[in-house]
Amino acid sequence: MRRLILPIVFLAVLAPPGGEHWFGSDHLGRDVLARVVYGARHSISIGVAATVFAVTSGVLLGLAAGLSPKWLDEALARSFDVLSTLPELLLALLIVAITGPGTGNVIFAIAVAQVPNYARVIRAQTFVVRRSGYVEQAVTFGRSRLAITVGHVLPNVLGPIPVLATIGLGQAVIAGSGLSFLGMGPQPPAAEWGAMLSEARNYLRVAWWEALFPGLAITLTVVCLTVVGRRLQQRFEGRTS
Amino acid sequence: MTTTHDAVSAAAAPSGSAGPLIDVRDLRVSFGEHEVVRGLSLAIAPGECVAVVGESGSGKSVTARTLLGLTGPGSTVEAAAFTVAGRDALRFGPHDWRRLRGRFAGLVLQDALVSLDPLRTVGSEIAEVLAVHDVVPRARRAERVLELLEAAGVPEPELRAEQRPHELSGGLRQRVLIASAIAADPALIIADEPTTALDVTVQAQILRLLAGQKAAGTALLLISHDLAVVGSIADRILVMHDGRVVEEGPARDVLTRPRHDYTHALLAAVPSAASRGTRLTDGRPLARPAPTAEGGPVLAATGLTRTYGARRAVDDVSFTLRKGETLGIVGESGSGKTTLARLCMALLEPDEGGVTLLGRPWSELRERERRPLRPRIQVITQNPLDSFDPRHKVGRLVAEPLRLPKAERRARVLDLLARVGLPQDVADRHPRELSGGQRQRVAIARALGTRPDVLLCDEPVSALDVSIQAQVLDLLAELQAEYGTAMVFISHDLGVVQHVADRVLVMKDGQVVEEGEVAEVFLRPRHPYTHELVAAVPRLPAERVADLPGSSTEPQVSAGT
Repeated sequence: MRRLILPIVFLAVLAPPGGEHWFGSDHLGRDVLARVVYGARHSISIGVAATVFAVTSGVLLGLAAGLSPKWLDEALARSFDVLSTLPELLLALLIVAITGPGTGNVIFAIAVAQVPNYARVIRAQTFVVRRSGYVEQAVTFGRSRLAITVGHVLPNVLGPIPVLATIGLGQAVIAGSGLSFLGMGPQPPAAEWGAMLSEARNYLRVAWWEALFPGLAITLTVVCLTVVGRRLQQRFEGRTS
Repeated sequence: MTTTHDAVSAAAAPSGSAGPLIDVRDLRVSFGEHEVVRGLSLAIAPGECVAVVGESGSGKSVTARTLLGLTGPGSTVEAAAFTVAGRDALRFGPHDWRRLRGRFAGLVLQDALVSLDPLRTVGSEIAEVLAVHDVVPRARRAERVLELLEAAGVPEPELRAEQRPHELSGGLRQRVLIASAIAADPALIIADEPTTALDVTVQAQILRLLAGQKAAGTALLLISHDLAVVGSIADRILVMHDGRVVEEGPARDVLTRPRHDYTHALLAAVPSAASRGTRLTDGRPLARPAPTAEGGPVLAATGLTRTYGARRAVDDVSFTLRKGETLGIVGESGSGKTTLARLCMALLEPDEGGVTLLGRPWSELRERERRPLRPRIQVITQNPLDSFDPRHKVGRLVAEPLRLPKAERRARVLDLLARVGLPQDVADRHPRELSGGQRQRVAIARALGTRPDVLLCDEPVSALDVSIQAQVLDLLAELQAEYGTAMVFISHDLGVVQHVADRVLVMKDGQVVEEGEVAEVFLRPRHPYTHELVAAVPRLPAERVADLPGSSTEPQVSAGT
């Protein structure tokens, strides 16, 4: 297979955008459009996986803090505060520096960096719901603590999560691409937007298209997610008040 | 332009024209397709007190707002004639209205906490009115603010003027609102439910204050759902129902010889000692269960004490509740009623003393041991919406306390809803879509689901209109007769307690000051506080406010409660 393909692609090394290659081709003659499309798989799945991980642990930690005795709550809350004083990307970078590069490690690092965002909101929500009339009423029905937590507290604290997670997803995509750009994420030849940008850097003077299109893909994805998130936020905030 | 302004100023002077201040004929207000005021005619003469009475949704508040040009966006106002201060108000622009508000007519709203800016001192709030209408020179404004607060019966005006609304009690906030309403010395005060959120003794003080304004020559337009309240000071009463005036006349005639069925029903719906043993909605006799000491008290408290910091919210309270009995607990806000309710529900641990339920220990148990007993005692509160999980529909809410297999649950829920007089389709609706009365019915259905031996009612009808209140009270009485449930009925409304309770505890500052049979306690009060409470209750038919107690010599309401 490989022997057959190689002669063909050498003809198209660093070809500018045109009829053959809409987004041009890169320094190894690979079609940029194909790699941008294929790269979505890496970049977005890193973002989604990190967000799912961050939301799950954030909700659980926030809920635990909100329902714990005061000393434990204070301890958890202060650690969320400390973590959120560091910029997300810097914190993620620190974690990858410890764990070493790789897709799994990048996902873990971004998730950890984002956990405090969710945990803090959930903790605050938990305080409100815990003191609400309907939780008290459930106590008067003789329901157990666990039943009340699962049946009333958890579902009612999740309200802001869809909006936060949509915006958080955009941030996670940027962080993922950023770490890949620095060579911490999926390793070449994997098509990942950040990694593509990183490779294209060396050919920027002769082939702008190799860097432009993956860069545009990142920007558009994040802008779209943020716009959708803000819209959701407006709609939900308008409704609940 | 100048002529316009002169005309307003001339008419705005209290001693100005002798004609009516406001004269509106065939007023119609609609929001979109929905007509909320359908042909109302009203004239207010200088120095006169006119009351508009009706339930929520009758269009009374919209009417009051329209008279000040505050109907709101999306509304259409039509009238055959609409004269304010001698000028044609139908041709008013926003600027004309603005000049009238405050100067010609002051507005007092029900909820003073919402109506006052939380970030400003109440003194600056009043000073603003003075500044806008340029009533007194800048240098004299601070002085005038203090005079106004003094006139509105605010004690220590120098101190109060520097405070913000949340630092004042409900009664003081209402006084501040009245002070700002009279700041520009208007010819007319429009008060929309001015005493609804207040305790009965504070209500009496506010009514006195309004009556004093009237005596000083200011006209009053009172909006209320409570005939007894307006009856004490109004000269004329308009009864509104469904956007129309169904009855109109001198206060005494409307209150003593109502011509319209609706007025009649409104008057009959007011609970009092006289209405005991009868249904409020149709006057038919009501079967009451005979309280029985058999099997011992169902609920008993001994020496209950609970402190918050240095304050004793509940101080050495003891009582017993027999099977089928209704125990009323009356007292003003801050008297410890709700803390007592929470202690009885074992939602709060007492510092001293204890509660027994069905003869067994209750408050001293650990929560895990209490759970099997919890269904035996249930509670309904003033605002049922708070006690409903906001995600759930009525069916699921009512089903929550039931320990039934899924298949039987639905049938039981529908049965319970039918018991409280709600149609089946309510089960699939959200409580937010229901009216206040329907929500309280849902709360009652849910509380009854466990067939409790004790039902604790914490101000269950305080947020409801008189007619809806009557329905809910009738329902509670019917259900009590049917199930023999014992009730603890907490209320600040003496009329309601007299109507429902067999025995009563009067609470003040966390202590029980008087206890006994309802008739005995209210007819021959022994404690001075009970005496004051009973005397402060506005009664039908009209009595003059001069008879009410609550003059400035009596203990004033303190801030921060």
